[in-house]
Amino acid sequence: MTATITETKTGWPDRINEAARKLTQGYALVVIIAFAASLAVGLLILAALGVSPWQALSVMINGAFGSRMAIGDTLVFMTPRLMTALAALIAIRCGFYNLGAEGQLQLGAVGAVLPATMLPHSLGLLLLPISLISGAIFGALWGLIPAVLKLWRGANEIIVTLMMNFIGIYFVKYLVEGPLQPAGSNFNMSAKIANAAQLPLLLPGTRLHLGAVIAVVTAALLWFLLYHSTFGIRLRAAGLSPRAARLQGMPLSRLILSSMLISGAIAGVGGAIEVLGVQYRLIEGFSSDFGFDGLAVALLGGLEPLGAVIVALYFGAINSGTIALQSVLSIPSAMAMIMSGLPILFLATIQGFRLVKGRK
Amino acid sequence: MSFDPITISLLLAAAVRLSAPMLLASLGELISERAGVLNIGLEGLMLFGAFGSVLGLQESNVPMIGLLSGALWGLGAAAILALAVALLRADQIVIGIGFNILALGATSLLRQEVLNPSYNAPSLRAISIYRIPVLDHWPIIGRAFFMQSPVFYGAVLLAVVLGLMLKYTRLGLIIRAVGEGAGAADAAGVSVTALRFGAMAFTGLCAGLGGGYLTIVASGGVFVDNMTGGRGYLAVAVVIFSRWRPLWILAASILFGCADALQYQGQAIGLSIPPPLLLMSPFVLALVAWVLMGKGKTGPGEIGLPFLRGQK
Repeated sequence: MTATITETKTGWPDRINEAARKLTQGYALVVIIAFAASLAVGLLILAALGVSPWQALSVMINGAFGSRMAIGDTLVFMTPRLMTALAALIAIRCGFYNLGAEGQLQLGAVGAVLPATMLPHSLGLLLLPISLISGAIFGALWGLIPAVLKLWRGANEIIVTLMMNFIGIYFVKYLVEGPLQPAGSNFNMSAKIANAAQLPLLLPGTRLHLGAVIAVVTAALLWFLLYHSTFGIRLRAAGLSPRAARLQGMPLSRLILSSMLISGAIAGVGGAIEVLGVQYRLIEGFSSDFGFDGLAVALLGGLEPLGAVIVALYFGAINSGTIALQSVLSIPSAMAMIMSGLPILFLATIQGFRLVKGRK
Repeated sequence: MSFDPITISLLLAAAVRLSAPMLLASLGELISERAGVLNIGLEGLMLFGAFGSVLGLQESNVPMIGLLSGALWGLGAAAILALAVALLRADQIVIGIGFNILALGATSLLRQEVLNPSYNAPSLRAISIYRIPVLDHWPIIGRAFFMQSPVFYGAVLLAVVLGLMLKYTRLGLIIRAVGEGAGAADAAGVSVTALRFGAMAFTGLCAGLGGGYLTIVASGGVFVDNMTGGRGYLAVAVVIFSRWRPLWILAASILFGCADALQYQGQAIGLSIPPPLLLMSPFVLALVAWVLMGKGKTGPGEIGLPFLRGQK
């Protein structure tokens, strides 16, 4: 079973949700068409920039998968987007439209950098798990806020999570320009984390670190949780029809709270991984819109953990591929954002078209 | 901190000057939301407008044409967005998120490929300041409200006109009807598709002009990647917690302009709030206002919903 792009939104009338749910059929095909169309547009843009599309394509594929280092980079770029995608999808599957993975990721990075730079080095190997868990807790608490505001004040989660993204981003900016900036430094970054807190590298000669494994394992665990636990069944039921779930006596509020706790924790670990495995510091702008990318990944992946892994890998490949485009053919790396934004535009448009057609 | 009248007056003037992009974008968003479209793509529309205005300025050397070009870029981008949302019923939230990612990439690519980085802008004074005689000599608020860009006066006028239009005209009634119950409006013979398309196009025009103001009037004609920095998202929130009332939108925009102004002038008055916290403050304020507003509901009933005909 695949969820659609328009998974039930709490507050939407059942008639629209019903119409939207019919779009599950052929979802995979629509996604493939969306990717093909965006790739075609991307190649057209490259052609307009005076680059042979085929040469560009081969440079990109080579940059994404052509060597051990390239594959390592692709997986490193996949990791944060997979984490934010998983964070988005578990909340949306529960009917809570969480657009706040970016903010949760930022707070997770803060949560990780505090123990990793401040606790005594004598803790040794304990530093790494402590930092990861601290990142998860920071992210989870940040994710809890919109859930509480929704249940307590009826505040629309879409607006609240969007606002909290920017609060998180500017909070990190504040920290690295002030309290966490080492004395005498002019760079907007924290001190370097302890060696013991760094995520171990997996393949010699590459940047691949343990975080990529954490992300894939998280996806597997989430799949198990969604499909093989009572909690998962209830969560999906609440997402499909909040009213039916309530009539069945399911604790809707508790489901939303716990799904946002899990969502926040996952995005938080994603932020922690960026600090502990990639940057080794907290840096302003360490996330190039991973939160929004993750949302696109989750929706393109049909709100399924496995789908998210596949699409996140594609996004990672686009990232490393466009970096190769920049160094070999001097194409601005902004191409990566264009190639990430286009598929979701095509997907939403095609699904919208099917929604109208299905009613005629 | 020093609180003499001159610094206060300067600070207020800067706040009002910097409020215009938010004001314009919010007024555009107001019409979309009244017609039932939650246009998250506002951020991207502003970015396209900001880029388009610098392009227009560089090509023509005329600031006014720059602003016009920004508005038209906003309109063009909005037409694409409206095609997907109004005509093809794409999910409003999802398409907005995708559109903003695309806008960030597209404007950055275009900046590097098309804009001249060493361009010297002509004098932008005429478009930045127009003194309204006599009134501009009022103490404290004279400089703030009567020594502004003509575009700002236009935006205030627009707020008043839109408020009256929504309340007292037939068009206003139709717009509100479509946002409140698209099915009923459709049954009464209104083309929901055409009206929502028009509303979104208007939003693009305003957001594009807002983006143009941001570059040409507020930043000396320079485009920087992601220069809107979340203002578009903020404008979406402003519209909602202003309860879809233009004059409240004006007030909220000036309040958020203060946060922008303090960033540049805070040092001068001896205020030592770190700039990132000032940047953060509008979002915190928006969140608090949003929460205090509570469960009360006076807004468009069907905001965010795709319109599907032929349903009970």
